[in-house]
Amino acid sequence: MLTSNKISSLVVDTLREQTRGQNIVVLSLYCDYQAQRDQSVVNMIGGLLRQVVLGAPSVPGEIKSAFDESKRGGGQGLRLQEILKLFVKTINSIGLVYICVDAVDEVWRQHRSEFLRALRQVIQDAPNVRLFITGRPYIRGELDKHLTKGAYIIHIAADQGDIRRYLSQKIDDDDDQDPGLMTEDLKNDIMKTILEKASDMWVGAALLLIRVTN
Amino acid sequence: MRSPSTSLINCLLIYHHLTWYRTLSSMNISPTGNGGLGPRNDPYQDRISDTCIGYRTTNIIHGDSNANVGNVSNSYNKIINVGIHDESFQIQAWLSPLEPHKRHQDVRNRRLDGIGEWVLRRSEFESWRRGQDGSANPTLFCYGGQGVGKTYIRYRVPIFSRNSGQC
Repeated sequence: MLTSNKISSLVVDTLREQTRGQNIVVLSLYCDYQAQRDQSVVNMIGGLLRQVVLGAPSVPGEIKSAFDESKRGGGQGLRLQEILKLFVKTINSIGLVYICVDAVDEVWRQHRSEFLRALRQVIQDAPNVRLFITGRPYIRGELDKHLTKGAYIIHIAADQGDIRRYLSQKIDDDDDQDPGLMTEDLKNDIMKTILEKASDMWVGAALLLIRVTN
Repeated sequence: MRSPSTSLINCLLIYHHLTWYRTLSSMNISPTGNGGLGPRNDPYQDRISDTCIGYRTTNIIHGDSNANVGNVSNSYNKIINVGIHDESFQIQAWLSPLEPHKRHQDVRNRRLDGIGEWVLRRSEFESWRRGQDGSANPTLFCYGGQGVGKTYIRYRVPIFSRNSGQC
């Protein structure tokens, strides 16, 4: 199904494809409510910076210096303002940096405002950054307050093609579990019925019904 | 009877073998809160194995070759043949325990071809991507309802397909 993380990964891959060979970097961050404990704001900005290191031919000088300094001071981790400054400084020499943040609504509630403010600081301090962000509708007010006022907006809803692809895949997966039970006719019937009658909201319920009645 | 220093060398060798093996098996080095081997809360621990080396207290840095074992001396504080890649790993782990690049790989592997491509064709996406107008807003926000979200998918998947994992 059309989950936001699939859209985000598609955007990341497409941007990478389109900008290959240019002085452009595409960074991704997938927020996950199951990993909230590790997803502190420092760790999330650090996760972005980590990808810059990973993609660079050698560790950028600014990061190396900060690491060495930290080691001399007993291995302390960076504080938020320090890592934000380091991030902006490190990407300064890159022509364009796309940052794709998926499911911002899954960031721990106590960290969310701070995270959104941190992202705002990044786009304010680094004019070479473009930010792609996904989230549930209820988060819009909070996002507008901190970050996205005047931003481009797209409403994600599964179109018929997406639902068709998804259904087909899931029916095939299910057939793999109990081979032979699903005939081509039955598959077509299921697809037709669901596509005619179900909004994307109810595809899951329809699938459950089919499973039970079968 | 073996001298204490020999025992120490043996301990170091065993330790190094163990950590070297674990490093190879995961190629993933992360700092831990307690500065040594120990449990760590990893968001993706069901997908990757876990190696935790705290450089702060153990003061042992991996070489990427078994040959490095020969460099171990009886001094606990000796550094073992630090390679450039190890340093990059160390620095990455110092920056964050999160590994978004691995998560990205995981999501893209489960993405069906063609799904969601209409988003890329939207004029808002194109305007945001190009950002030709200098004053253009640098942010694009995509929002989706409960029906297309993760909770919904997690609820549904076990019912219809037992092996398809997460959304």
